[in-house]
Amino acid sequence: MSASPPNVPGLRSFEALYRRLVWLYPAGFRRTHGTEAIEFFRDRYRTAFRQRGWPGALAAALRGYRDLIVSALLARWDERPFRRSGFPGRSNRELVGAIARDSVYAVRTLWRAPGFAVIAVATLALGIGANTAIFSVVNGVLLRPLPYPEPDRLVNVWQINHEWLDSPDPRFRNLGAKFPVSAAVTWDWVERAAALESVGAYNTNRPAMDFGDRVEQMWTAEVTSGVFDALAVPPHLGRVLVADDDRVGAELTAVLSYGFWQRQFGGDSAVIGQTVTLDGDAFAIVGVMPEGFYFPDPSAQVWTTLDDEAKQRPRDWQFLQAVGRMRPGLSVETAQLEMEAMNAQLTEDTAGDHKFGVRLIPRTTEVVGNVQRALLVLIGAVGLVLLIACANIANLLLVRATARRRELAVRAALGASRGRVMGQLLTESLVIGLLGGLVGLGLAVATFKPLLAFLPSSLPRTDEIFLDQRVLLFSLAASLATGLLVGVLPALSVSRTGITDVLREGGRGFTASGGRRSAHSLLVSSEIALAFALLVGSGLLVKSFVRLTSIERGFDATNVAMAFVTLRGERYGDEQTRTTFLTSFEERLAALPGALSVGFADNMPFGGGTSSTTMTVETLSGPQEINLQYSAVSADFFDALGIPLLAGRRFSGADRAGAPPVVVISEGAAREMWPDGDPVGKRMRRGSLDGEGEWKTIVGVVADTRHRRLDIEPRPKFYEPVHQVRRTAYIAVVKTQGDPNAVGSEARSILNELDPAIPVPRIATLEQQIANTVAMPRFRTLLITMLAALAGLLAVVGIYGVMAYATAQRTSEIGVRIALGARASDVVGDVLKRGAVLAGIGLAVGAAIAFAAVRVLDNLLYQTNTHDPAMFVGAGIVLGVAALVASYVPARRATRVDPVEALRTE
Amino acid sequence: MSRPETASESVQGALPLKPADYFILFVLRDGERHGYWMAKEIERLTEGQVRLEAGNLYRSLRRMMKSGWVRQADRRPAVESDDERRRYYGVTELGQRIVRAEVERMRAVVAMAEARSPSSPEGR
Repeated sequence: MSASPPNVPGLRSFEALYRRLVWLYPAGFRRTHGTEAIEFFRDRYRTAFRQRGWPGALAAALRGYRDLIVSALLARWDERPFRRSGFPGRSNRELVGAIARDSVYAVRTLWRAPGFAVIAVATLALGIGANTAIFSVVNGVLLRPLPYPEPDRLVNVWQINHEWLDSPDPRFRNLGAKFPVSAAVTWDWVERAAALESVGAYNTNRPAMDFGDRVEQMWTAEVTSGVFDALAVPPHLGRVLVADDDRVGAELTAVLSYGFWQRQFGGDSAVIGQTVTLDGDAFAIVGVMPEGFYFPDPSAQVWTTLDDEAKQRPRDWQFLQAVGRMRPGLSVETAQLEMEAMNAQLTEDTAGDHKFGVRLIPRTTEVVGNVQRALLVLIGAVGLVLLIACANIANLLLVRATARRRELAVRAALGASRGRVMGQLLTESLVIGLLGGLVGLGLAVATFKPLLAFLPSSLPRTDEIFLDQRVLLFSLAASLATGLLVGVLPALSVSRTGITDVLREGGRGFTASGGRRSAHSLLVSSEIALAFALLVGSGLLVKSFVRLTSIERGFDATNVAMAFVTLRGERYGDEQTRTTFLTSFEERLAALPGALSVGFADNMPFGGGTSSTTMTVETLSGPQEINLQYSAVSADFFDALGIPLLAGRRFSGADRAGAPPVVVISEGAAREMWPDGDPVGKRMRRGSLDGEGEWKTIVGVVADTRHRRLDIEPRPKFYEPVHQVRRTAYIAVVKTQGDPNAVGSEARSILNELDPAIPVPRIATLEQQIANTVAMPRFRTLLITMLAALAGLLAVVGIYGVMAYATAQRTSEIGVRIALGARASDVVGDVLKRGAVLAGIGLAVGAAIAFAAVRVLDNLLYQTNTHDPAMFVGAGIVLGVAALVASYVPARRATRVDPVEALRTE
Repeated sequence: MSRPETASESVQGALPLKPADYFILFVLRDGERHGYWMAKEIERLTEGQVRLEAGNLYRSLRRMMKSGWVRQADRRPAVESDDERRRYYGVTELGQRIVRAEVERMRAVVAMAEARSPSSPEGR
C-alpha cells in the first residue's frame, strides 16, 4: 500500500464511529470483511468530501452507517440457527414466518403486561406525535419546494448601494446590501441579463377596492410581465400579463387570484373583460391564476400592471423588488458573475448614471431563510425529547429483560440461538415502537388543526403545511428508529448473559448484574444530560423574550386603539377639506365614552410603515446632512401614545396649514446633531446641502420610540404637524380608559357617517400590533419551554424508576442492614448518594453538551449571552433537586422494609 | 427431506437475480477483483445509478460464495497493485452460467416488450 492519502476534515470522528459500529456484525463477518469495510467507508467519505464538500461527506457517512446497520442485522439473520439445525438454505418465506411468529409472540407478551405496554406506548406516542407535528411544519415550510416550476431557478434580484455599504450605521449597511430596484433598471435587465431567462419587478400595495356597495382596502401587487414569465405558472383562465402590458400607454390590466375570483365573482368564467376598480382606476381583468398560486405571499389577491407614471420613473426612484428565473443549468454563483459583468457594462453605457451593484439571492432562501434556524432548533429539541422518552422505555425494557432471563434462558437451552433470542426481543421493541408511532400519528392528526392555529402569523408558507406522504414516512421512520433504539441495549444485555449461569441461579432473586446496572445508569445519566441542555436552551430563550418585551419602547401601548384610514379622491386634495375632516373625526372620537385622548399620524410605532429622508440641519458647526425618519402627527398624538416631552413644546392647534412650519425632534436626533447644545429654536429643511426646501423651526424634543421591531434601536426622527403636510393615509389612535377594542366599531360608524366613500378602516390595538412582531420568538420560546419541561419530567421519572428498581432489588440487603441496627437515615443517605452520583454525571455531561449546543441559539437571542452562567446554574439546581426528590421517595420506602419479611424472600 | 438439485434447476431457481448480484457477477467476468474495486466499477458502469455500500456488497459476496457462484481467489495479482489486507474474489463456473441465463432472461423480457410496443400508439 502506498502512503496514505491526506486526511480530510471530520473523517477521523466519522471513521471512529464506523469502527465502533462494525462490532454489530457477526464475528465471522467482521473478521473477514471488517477492515475492508472500514477502508471502503474511508475512501467513500474522502471522495465525497472532495467532490461535494461537507454536505456530500455527511451524506456519504450517513449512507455508510445506514448500510452497516441494515446489513449487520441482515447478516445476523443470514447466520441465524435454522441453517445450523439442518435446514439447508433460507427462503424468504422462512424469514417472514420467523418475524411473524416473533411479532405474534411480542403482542402476546405485551398483552400479558398491559400496564407496561400502556406506559411504553403512551410515552413513545407522545414523543413520536410531537416529532411528527413539528416535522410537518418543517416539511411544509422548509422542505417542500416553492409552488412554482423548478423553484431552484428562481432568484430575488437586488441592487447593492456601495455608498451605504460603507456607512458606519448598520441599518444603512443592511439596506445597502439589499437595495430595492427601479423600473428603469428592470427594463435594462429584461433586455441585457442573459443569465436570467426572465426577470420582473413588483411592489405590494394596499389600494381601496370599490365593490359598488362598499369600499375596502385589500392587498395587491403591481407587477411587470417579467414576474409572470419568471414564475412560469400558467393561468387557470385567460392570460397572465405579457410584455405588451409593460408598454407605456397600454390599458391597465389585472390578474385575479383563484380565491378572490371565487369569492367576488362566484367562479364565473365571464369575468374576463370585466373590470376591478382600485383607488379609482379601472383595471381590465385578463386572467385568473390557479388555486394554490401565490405571489409574493398569500395576502396578495390581485396582480396589476404598473401605471404609466410608475413605468417611466427614473433610475433613482427605487421602490421595487425583483424576481428572476435563471437560465437552466446555471448555478447562483455563475449567474451572479454573469450579472456583475452585465451590470458593469450597464454602468459604462449609462455613463455612470447607473451606479449600483447587483445581487442574486435564491428565492427559497429569502422566503424561509429567517425561520430556518428557529425551526431546526425546534425539531432538534423535539428530537431530544423523543430520545429521552426512548431512554426511559429502554430502561423499562432492561428491567423486563432481567425479570425474563429465565424464560429466555430456557428458550436458549431448547436450541434458540442468541441471535434468535435477540431477534425476538428486538421484534418486541419494534412492535412497541410501531404501536407508539401509530398512536402518535393519530395524536398528530387530531391536533393538526389546533397546531396550525397556534403557529405565529409571521411564519411563512403555513398554507403549505400538510400531513403528506413525507410526513407519514417520517413518522414511520421515527417509529422504527425508536423501536430499534429502545430495544438494542436490552437485547445486547441478554445476549451477554450465559445460559447456564441463569439456570444455575435457579429461583433465587434476579439481582441486576454489574453490567446491567451500569446500563441503567448510563441511560438515566444521558436523560438528565439531554434534559439539562434543553432546560438551559429554554431558559435562555425565556430570558431573551422577557428582555425583548420589557425593553423601553418610548411610548405606552396600554389601551390604545388604532384605525387605519385612507382618504381617496380629488376632494381630499384640498387642504381645507382635509383639515375639516380630520378635525371633525378627532372631535367625534374624543367624544366617545372612555376615550382619554385622540391623535393622528401618517405613520407611527408598530403602525406598519416608515418614512425616512435626507435633511439639512443647522448645527453648531454649520449646516449638515442627516438621514432622519419622519412622521406627521396631530397635536395630541404624543399624549395618546404617552411619549414624554423632554424640552420645548408639543404641537398645538396653531400649527396649521399656512402657519410657520415647525417640527418636533426625537431625543436621538437632538443628541446626534446638537450633542452639547439646545436644539429648540434651530432650523432644518428637507433635501441635501444644496437643496432649497423650506426651513422649519424646531420647537420641541420628545423621547425616542422603537418603531418597527422591539429589537431594533430607535432611529433619530422628526415630527411635523399633521395639518402642515399632505397625506392620503392616516392612523387614528385613541387612548381609552377601558378595553380599546370597544372603540373599533364606533370608529367605523363615525367614518361612514362622515364620508361613506372612505374605505372601511382596519382596526387594531397597539398591543396586538406589537405582539405580532414578536409572534415568532414567543412561539419558539413557548414551544421549547414546554419541551424542556417535558424532558425534565421524563428524566425525573427515569431516575425515579431506576432508583425504585435498585432499592427493590436490594430489599433483602437493606432488611439485613436494618436488622443489624442500621439507621433509616443511613439507608436513605446511601440511596440518595447513588441518585446524586447519577444526577451529577448527567449534569456534568449535560453542561458540556449545552455549552457546545447553545451556540445554535446565538442569533435567536436578544441581549442575552448564550453562555449565561445563571442559566447553567439554574438548570442544574432545578434538575439536581428534582433528581434527589425522585431518589428520596424510593429510599424512604426502603427504610420501611420489615427485616423479617425481607429476609424471608431470600 | 431435501433432494439433490439438478444443475439447470439451480440455475433457473436463482433467477431473476437481484441487481446487486447481477452487477457483481458481471464485473467479475474478466478476472479476480477485490470488493471496493467492484463497487467503484459498478458505479462507473452504471454512471452512478447503482451504488453499493460496503455491508451490502460483502453480504452479497458471502451469500453468493455460500451458493457457490463466487469463490475467494487464492492467487493474488501483481505485487505493486496488491494490498495484502484485501481479499480477491472470482466467479465460478456456476456463477458464469447464472449470469448468462440472467442475460438471456432479460433479453427475452426486452424482446417481448419491443414486440408489443408498435401497436400501442393509436391503440387507445
